[in-house]
Amino acid sequence: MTTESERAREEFFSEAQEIVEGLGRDLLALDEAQKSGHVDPDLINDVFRAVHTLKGLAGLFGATRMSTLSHELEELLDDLRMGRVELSPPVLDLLFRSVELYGRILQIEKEGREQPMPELDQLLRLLHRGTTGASGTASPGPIIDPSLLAVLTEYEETRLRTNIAQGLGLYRLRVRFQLATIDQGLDELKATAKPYGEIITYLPTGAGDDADSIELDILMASRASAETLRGALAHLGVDVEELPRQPTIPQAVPPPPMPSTPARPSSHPTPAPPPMSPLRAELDTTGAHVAFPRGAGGGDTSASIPPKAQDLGTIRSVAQTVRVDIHKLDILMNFVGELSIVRTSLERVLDKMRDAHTDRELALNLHRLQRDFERHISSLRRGILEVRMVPLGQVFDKLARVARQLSREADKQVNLVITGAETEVDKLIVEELSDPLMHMMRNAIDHGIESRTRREEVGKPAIGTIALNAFQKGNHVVIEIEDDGRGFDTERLVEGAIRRGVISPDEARTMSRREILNLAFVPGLSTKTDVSELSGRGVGMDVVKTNIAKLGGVIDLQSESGIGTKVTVTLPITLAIISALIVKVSDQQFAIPLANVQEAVWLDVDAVRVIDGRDAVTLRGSTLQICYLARLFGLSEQVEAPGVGGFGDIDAPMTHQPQMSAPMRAQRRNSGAFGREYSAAFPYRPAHGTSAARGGGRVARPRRKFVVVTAVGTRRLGLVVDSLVGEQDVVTKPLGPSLKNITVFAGATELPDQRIALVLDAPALVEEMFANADRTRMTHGGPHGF
Amino acid sequence: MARILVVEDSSAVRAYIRAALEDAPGLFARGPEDAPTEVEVVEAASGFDALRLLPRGHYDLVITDINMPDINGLELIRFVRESERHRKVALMIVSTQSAEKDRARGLALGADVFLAKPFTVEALRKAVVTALNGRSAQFAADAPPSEGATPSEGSR
Repeated sequence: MTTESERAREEFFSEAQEIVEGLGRDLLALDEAQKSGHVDPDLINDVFRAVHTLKGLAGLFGATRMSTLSHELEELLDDLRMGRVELSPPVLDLLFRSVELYGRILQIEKEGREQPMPELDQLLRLLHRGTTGASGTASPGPIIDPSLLAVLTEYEETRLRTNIAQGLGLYRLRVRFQLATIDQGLDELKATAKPYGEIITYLPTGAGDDADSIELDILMASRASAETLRGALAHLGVDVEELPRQPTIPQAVPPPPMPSTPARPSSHPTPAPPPMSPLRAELDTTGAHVAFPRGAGGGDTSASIPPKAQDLGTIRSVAQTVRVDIHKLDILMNFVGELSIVRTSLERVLDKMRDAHTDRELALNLHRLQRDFERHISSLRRGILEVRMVPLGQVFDKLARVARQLSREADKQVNLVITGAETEVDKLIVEELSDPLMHMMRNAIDHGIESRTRREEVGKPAIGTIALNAFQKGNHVVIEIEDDGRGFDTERLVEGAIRRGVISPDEARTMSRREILNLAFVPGLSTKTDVSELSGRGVGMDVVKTNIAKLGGVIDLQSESGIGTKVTVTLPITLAIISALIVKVSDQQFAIPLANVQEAVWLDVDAVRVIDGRDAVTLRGSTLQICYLARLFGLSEQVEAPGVGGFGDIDAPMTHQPQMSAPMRAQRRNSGAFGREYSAAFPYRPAHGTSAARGGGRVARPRRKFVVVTAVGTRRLGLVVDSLVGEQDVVTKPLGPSLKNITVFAGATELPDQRIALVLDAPALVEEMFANADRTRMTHGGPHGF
Repeated sequence: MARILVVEDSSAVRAYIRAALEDAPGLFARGPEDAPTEVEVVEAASGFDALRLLPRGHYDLVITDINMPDINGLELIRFVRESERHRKVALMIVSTQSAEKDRARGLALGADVFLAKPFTVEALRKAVVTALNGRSAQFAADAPPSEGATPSEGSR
């Protein structure tokens, strides 16, 4: 294997994946079109082309299963686009099933596994039956000028004949494009012409041989008059000419050179081409004859299309996109992380210089340089992050397909409303989101939306609605799946929880509605005693929660009986770099993701009270449960000031700053979804002024520690640490196998002094602390959803 | 040095062709003196891309797919054959065996070589050598890639 052919193989997988995703989108559009009764032939042709390309790729790269499936599908689609088979719901079903299978086949191929796929064989049989063997006798159509026919593909010819048979007029549009801006020009022309009819083909004429522009003859079928078309296309510099429709004596096409030797039988089953009657034998049924003048003729409008600016923003020219392997971006991101560390070290040196009264001139220069350095790193990081972003639409398309399939299986009618598909998230997050979202979609259809009859009984519209929304909120992305179904049966949730010993009857009485709903995330609690074929509500919700938590996200549930359920998932936009608060416990350093930090305050050890067997303090009138990290990790507790280490003067005694006793607050943005505030993780803000970095342990107060208030969803927990080191951007690296099983660490990161700090997984830690917690009524910091 | 323009809307097929041709140094000999030739592959993702690239450089061979959006391969072939500047360039079609009509039209418009998809690396190289040597031929579809497979000259 050479590198070039490995690259080609990589390209095969990424392109195939892309095509399959596009195929899914097209099918959804086809599904809609079929319901509305007007199917755009272009759309069917797009689907055909996608499968055709897949077939070609599979053949080249030896992916046999994909070859076989594509081959059968292509036959069916060819019949569809040539109008030999009607697009019906059963046919659509077959197509949807095929898309799902493509995905599976690709996965198996990529992993190089050998495993039987009975569902593929089944589908192939269906496809084979489904294609009702087209008669192959294309109805003899009108006579068309052979010089035009000579450059039409079979499909284009079919479209041309169909349009003529339907009595549409034919037009030749002549236009000159600058080669540099041809993509935009063409997109604009297509968008403008689309409402008036169908463009059959584009012919470069070669007129006015000029290296910078090209003249095109465009063949278009339209019901509109020449005047209307001229008016509509005038601003694009298009010259419109109606092609005469007059009976003429058909000319014969020169017979193509026929091969003399028969091909050796190939192991590839190639279908025999449908017998087409030769043109010359055809009867002129419609009296239509199309002449298509070509070459440098008159009407040479040398108007060129100016580069457009306005509403075609979303149609990005393919030629301008680059596909990048996400791992390459990871590597770049690591460099940025390393650079950030260098930057922090530089800052420390600067701080020292300032304090050591060195050459002021030099210090100032260095400081300026450092600021520039910082600005560039920020830009670099933002740039790379942007490259990693992909629209959530990729997942939503899959969800829409699943929703369609499930609702058909469950015999429920569901209307799926999607907003915010263009919201962008880190590619890796999108990958990890598929399964959890899929599961929630299943739940919504299976357990949320009631049957038609039931809905009518309770006076709801017969068709259920599921809303899938996404939007950005600060550094987070929020995804909501909301259904107008029956809602959660909280009584049964509680019953189940008591029966399984998760909670005691006494506890059940004091639980808030939100806490009860959260029982749905407890493994194995289902409100359905008979788990249906799809999924038991609650079964798997614990897995969903775990998966979301792994991404640094939180999941929240709101439900009203009889009205519906809303699941809200809030995720960080990126996983690549997080801002963290570096803290010290004993002589160890830990990083706490700033996204989970509300504030950090002094802790007077004497003020800790024990409430219901738990350590707690009162913070601004609310009770806050606290957890001594030193005890949790079995580190020796420090009662005197932390020794000098790590960052030199940071921990040394410092001049007293009165504002230090006020809670340290990160730059804030209010977040309704969280009911808490979180700091903007980007861009990096140097930890100066009121930041904790300058409030290191004070020698004078040995009994004083810090509480870092972490918030996850609506739960708050105070983590007791010895000192605060400062804020930092960290690149989290996965832990080795030995620490893999400790759930409260998200990974490790390297600090500027080359020491390693473990990154706390705040959601997991909070979960851990509350898992067996007495159900004390805690005051939550945030508004409740309903 | 032979410069080859590959016009194909599938990036994976382009990559495959590039790998097959560029990883074969000295494979291509032209003319009686049999001097080994380096190959340079230039990729065009669409007919329009090809129109953009053609005036910007000299090509010995254009390899094109037929079924592409907007400007199809047939239109590109006719454009090349009718233009003063590129008339002499060798033309090769890579397309599926089944599209009989498309193949026939392509050859009628002046393509020199037809190579059916799917093809092996060997078949592709052979077809390219044929085209660069100014001969014409048609190669039938071959079994999926396997070692040592040879394409059949002539075709169905």
